[in-house]
Amino acid sequence: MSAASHPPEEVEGEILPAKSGRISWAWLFPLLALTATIWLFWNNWRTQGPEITIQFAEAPGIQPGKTALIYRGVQAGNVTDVRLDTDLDMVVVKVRLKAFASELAREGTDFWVEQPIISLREIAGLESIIQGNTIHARIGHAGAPRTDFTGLATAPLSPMDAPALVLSLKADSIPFLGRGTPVYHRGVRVGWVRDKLLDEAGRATAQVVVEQSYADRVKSNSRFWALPATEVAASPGQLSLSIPAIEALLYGGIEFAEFSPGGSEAASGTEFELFPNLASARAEGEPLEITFPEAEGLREGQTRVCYLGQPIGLLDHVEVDPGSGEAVARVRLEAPFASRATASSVFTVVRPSISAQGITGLETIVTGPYIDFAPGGGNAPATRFAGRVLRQIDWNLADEQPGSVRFTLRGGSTPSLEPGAPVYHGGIVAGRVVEKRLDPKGLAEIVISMPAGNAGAVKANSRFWYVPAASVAAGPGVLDVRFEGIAALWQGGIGFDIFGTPAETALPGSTFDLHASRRLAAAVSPPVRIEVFNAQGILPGQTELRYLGVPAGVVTGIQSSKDKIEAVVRFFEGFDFLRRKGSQFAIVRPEISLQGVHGLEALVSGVYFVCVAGSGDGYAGNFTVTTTTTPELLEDTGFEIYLRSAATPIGVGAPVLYNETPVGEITQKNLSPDGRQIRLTARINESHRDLVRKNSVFWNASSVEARVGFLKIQIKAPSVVAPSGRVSFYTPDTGGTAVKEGSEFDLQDRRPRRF
Amino acid sequence: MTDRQRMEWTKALVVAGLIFYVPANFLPVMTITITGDVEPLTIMGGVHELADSGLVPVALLVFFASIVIPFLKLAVMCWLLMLHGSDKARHGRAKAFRILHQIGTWSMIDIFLLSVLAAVGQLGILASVRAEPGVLFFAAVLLCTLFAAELYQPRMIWRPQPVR
Repeated sequence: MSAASHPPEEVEGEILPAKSGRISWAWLFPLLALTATIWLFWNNWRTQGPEITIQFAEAPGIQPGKTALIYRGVQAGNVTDVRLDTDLDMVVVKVRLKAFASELAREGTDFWVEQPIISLREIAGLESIIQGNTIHARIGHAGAPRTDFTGLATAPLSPMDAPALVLSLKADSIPFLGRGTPVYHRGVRVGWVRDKLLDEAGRATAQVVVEQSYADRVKSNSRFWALPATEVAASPGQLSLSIPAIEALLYGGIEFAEFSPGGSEAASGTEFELFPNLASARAEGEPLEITFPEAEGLREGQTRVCYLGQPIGLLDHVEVDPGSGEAVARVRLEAPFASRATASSVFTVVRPSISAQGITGLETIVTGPYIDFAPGGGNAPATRFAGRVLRQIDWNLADEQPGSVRFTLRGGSTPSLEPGAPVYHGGIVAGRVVEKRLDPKGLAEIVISMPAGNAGAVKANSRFWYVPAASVAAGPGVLDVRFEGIAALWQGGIGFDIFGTPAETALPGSTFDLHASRRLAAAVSPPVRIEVFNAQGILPGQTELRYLGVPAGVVTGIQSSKDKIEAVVRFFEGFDFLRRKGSQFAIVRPEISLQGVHGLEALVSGVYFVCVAGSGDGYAGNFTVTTTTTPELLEDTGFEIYLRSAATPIGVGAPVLYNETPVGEITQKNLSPDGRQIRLTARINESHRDLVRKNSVFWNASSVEARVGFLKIQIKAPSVVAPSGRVSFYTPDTGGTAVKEGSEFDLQDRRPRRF
Repeated sequence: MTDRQRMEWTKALVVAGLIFYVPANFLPVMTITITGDVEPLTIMGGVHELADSGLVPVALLVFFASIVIPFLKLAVMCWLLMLHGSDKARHGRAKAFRILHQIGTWSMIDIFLLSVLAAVGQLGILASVRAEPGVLFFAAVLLCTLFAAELYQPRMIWRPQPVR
């Protein structure tokens, strides 16, 4: 702008309008700035929705200006203010919604603080660890606009949609259910447990959420039951383990179904009963009360009520009425059968039973007893019944055939023989026990009944015995388990037979003795008493007498008087000759020593007697047991000499050796007549009698010698070698004369040096 | 460019700077995210944050550099423009303008720092720094003051009468 050109312009002075019109382009800048700023603020205002207020019990990690409100993963608003309400018991959070999310400000919307949850059952809100806690929203059914809300305490399990159907399931106890436990309908997961709590009455309540799409599956007559994590079902021939789902292993589960027709759709908030299992859920009928004389084996929640073998109900509860002493069972039946429980219905507890009629209720061995239901006639439903218990043997006196013959058996004890127990003869059921009673003297009496055709088998000298459920006979190399038929396996019975020549037929009503076992019944000879020194291992009714290895008799009793013990023995038919005078009896006990093993079979069968028949005239009633157990020595009496010693550990039974060969045995150990020495009686085998000469030397050979180099070690421990020691003797080749029976020798303590 | 045009441009830029100054201070200039903690910061918020962390000198520095000085620049420019053509305080105005001009060299330091921070401070989910729209406005304020100061010539202070 030069000064020269100035004046003419001033003179002209007419360009003002043009000058005012020529505003500088520079003013576009402020205009632009203004527009941008206004647009910014307007945009900001435009994208803002309404401000809502949410009340939380606690709001961890929520900060004004920072925390976002998330809806379907999108930021739908911002927290603008966090404060406590005036009572300090709620947190009031103000959230400015974005304009596109203003629909959230409606009734039914749920808000919750999303925070990370890591537990065995669920892992949720992991993103909160990174992003910090956020407030989440879930829209409900579009309700009226609203700006103040109360937040949920915990995150809901379905963050997208509000549940369509919330049900309350009540049970006495729901230990394994928890938040997130799935709810199944026909195996399809349709919902889950939202919460579990106690209601006002103190019952456990599970709040169950059913998804919208399945809400119409829940009917008013739906029955809910708990699925156990695993289930083991046992039935005859089958053992099954079922795991509904891996998920259910962790959570357990709930299933529902309808068992009766009809039923309308259930509304939200409906209360249902949660049953512990499917069987319980199926039993829809009213509870029925049944009184049983006993309740053994009945289990609450498990024992089934069966009709025609099929389960139709369940035992809910069983208790014993202290007043009447009876068991009161409460059962429920399935709906179709509930109406058939009329006054004439019969409930019977069925337990496994094996009887001569057959085997009943075998399946209950595995499944436990069940209650059999027999519907009654009529239409009047009843709720109280008197139940009965099926006996093991369901045998009626009415089954007794006309013309049957009765006999009476008398015995000390008759365990487990019940009316109906079989009476065997030759393996055939020939009769039955009909009565069990006490005679006037207080002894047990059993009345048996036999059809007329069989009664002829009972002779005057028949002997009856008790057949136990099973008997085991053991001998060397033989183990024999026997039982008389499957009926006897269960409860035993009675057998009878004739030993010896049959006498005439017994008169009806005769009385017989009942023996404890067949063996005792078979021992028919008059009793013989055998004095024993030691009755250890001898059992009446068990311990046998054997003759050449064949059972010849049995010990029927043991009597002890003041100075002796006697075994009372009877012989079987045909072994009377063992009662002759001069018979010898010895007890065989198992013995294991370095000399050998004796009586090994006695380990299994127990102690037994060995018999050697005497040759004397007439029968004797009393015998004394001999101590040797070597049968040859029993038969071959040998010749006896005496060995004297001041003191010796040698005992009865010690072998007498010649050049390490047994030739005899110590049979007695007494004090010498003057009482200063011990006198051993040695019985030398007859065939070796010439070995004993006048100059024979006897010594105690019990100890074991061992040579270690030039040292000689002697072990004086007889028990190691033989329980009762050993005696050795040596006879020089020349110079000895024969000895007479009863000669006496000195017993050296150790082996003489000369050998 | 005539002096009148310079005047017009200077005036327009100062007015635009004043307008930009408002959103520049109200909008967040950056968002710092540290382990999930999202912090949108305005300039004043940043000053607060620094002061809260005990860095009062730095807070003061930022406060002066980013809030006071831009505002002072705008205020001084307004003062210069209003007194344009009058003979009042001519020495003072010239001195003020010189200072203004020199400070102007440093005025983009905030923007520079922020762009460096936004570029470097990217540690994935652990931490990130993001520039927000506010920084554009802030830059606009600075640019307006810069250009205004550049277009306004110190000799215009000494002109005997105002340009009409």
